[in-house]
Amino acid sequence: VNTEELRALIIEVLSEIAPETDPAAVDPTEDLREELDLDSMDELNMITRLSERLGVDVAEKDYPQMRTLEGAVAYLSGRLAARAG
Amino acid sequence: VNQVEVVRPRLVWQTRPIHHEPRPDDWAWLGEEDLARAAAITHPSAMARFVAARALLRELLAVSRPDLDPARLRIDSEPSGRPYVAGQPHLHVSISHTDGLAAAAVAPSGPIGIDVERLDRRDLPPPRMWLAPAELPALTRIDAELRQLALLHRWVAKEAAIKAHPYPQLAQRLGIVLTCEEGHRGASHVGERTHVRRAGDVADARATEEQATWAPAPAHASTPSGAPSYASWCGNGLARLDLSERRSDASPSSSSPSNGSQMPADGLHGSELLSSGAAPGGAPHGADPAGSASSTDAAAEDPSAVGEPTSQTRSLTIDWYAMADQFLVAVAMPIADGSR
Repeated sequence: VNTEELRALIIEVLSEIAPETDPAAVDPTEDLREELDLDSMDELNMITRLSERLGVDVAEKDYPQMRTLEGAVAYLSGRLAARAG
Repeated sequence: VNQVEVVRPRLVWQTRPIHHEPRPDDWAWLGEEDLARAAAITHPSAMARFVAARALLRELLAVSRPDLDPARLRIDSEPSGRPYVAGQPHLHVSISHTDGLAAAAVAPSGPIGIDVERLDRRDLPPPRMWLAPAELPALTRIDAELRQLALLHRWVAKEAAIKAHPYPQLAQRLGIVLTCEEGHRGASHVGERTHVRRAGDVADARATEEQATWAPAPAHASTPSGAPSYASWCGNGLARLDLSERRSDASPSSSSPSNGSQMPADGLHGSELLSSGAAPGGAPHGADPAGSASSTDAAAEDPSAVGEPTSQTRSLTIDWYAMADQFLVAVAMPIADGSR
C-alpha cells in the first residue's frame, strides 16, 4: 500500500463514517474532528476500520497521531513498513 | 495505598437543545474570545453547537460563582482539549454535545466530566476497542436486547471519566474499568446528588421544561423479558471507575485486550497501576504553579513522584441520567475513598 492508496483508503473510511461530508476536501494538516465534525465515537470507528482493513494494530496512546489526514497517512505508513520488516 | 482525598464538590450541570441557529439570548453570554472563536467556525451547525455549549457553560459559571462576572471569565483549552477557566485553578468545567443537545458541568473543588449521547445511537465501536477485559463478563450477563443500552452507558461513562481525569491525555479507555458497587445502590444516594441540578440552580431558568424530564437513567431501563434486568448490573446509575495511569513509556501491550489476564476479575483491587508523575503535553491547569493546589491530584503533581511508579488507583463515581428516551448523560467526579 503506497501513500496515495493509504490516503484514498482513509478518505473512503471517513466518507463511510461521515457520509454528509467531503473528506477529500479537508485540509490535510487540520484536525479531522473539527474539519469533518467528528466526535470521539466517530474517531474510534475510523481507527477501528482502518486497523481492520490494513491489518495493523493501533495502540490507544497513538490515537492522537491520527487526528489529521497527513498524520494518519504517516502513522499508518510507519506501521505498515514496520510490519513488512 | 490510599491517595484519594475526600472531595464532595457541589456540582452543577445542565443541558440545552441545540437549534439550527444560535438563539439570540445565547450570544449575550459569550465573552470576547468566544465571539472570536464562533466567528471562525464555518459550519453553521458547528457554530450553533459551540455557541449553545459556551452560553450554557457561562450560565452555569454564574450559578456556581455568583461573585464572578461570567462574561469576563476566559475559557481556554488544555492541549488535551479539556476546557478550563483561566486564572481559576479550582473551578473545574466540562462540556459535551451530541446531535441536538449540549451539556455542561461546573464543579468548584474537583475535576468534573460530563458526556451526552443520543440513546438511539447505534454506531458504537466494537467493545474490544474500548472495554477493559475485566468489564466483558458483566456484559455477557445482560439480555441481548439491553446490551446495546448497557454499552452506551459504559461509553458515556468512560468519556466522562476521561474528562474528569487529572491527565486526560494519559487516560485510555481500555485502562478504565467500570464496576458497580453494592454500597452505592439505593435511591438515597442518587437523591443526595439530585439537588445539584434542581431548576433553581440555574440563574436563567428558560430551560426548566427539559430539566424536569431528566431522571436517573435506570428509571428508563425496563426489562421487557424479565431478569437479568439492566438495573441489576448497575444499581442506581452509580458506579466506580478505576483509572489506570500508565506512564507514557509503558509497554504498549499493557493496554492490549489480549493481555488482560493481569486484571483481577472484579477490576477493583490490585491492578497493576502506575502513577503519572510527568504529564506529556503539558500539565492540567489544576497544577497550580504557586504551589497552593489542594486538589485530589496533588499526589500526581508531586515532582518527587516522577520516575517512581507507585500502585495507584483513581476512583470516580458515575451518575447517569436519561431524558425522554432521547438522550443519556453521564457525570463523572472523584469520590472519597473511604468505602474501600
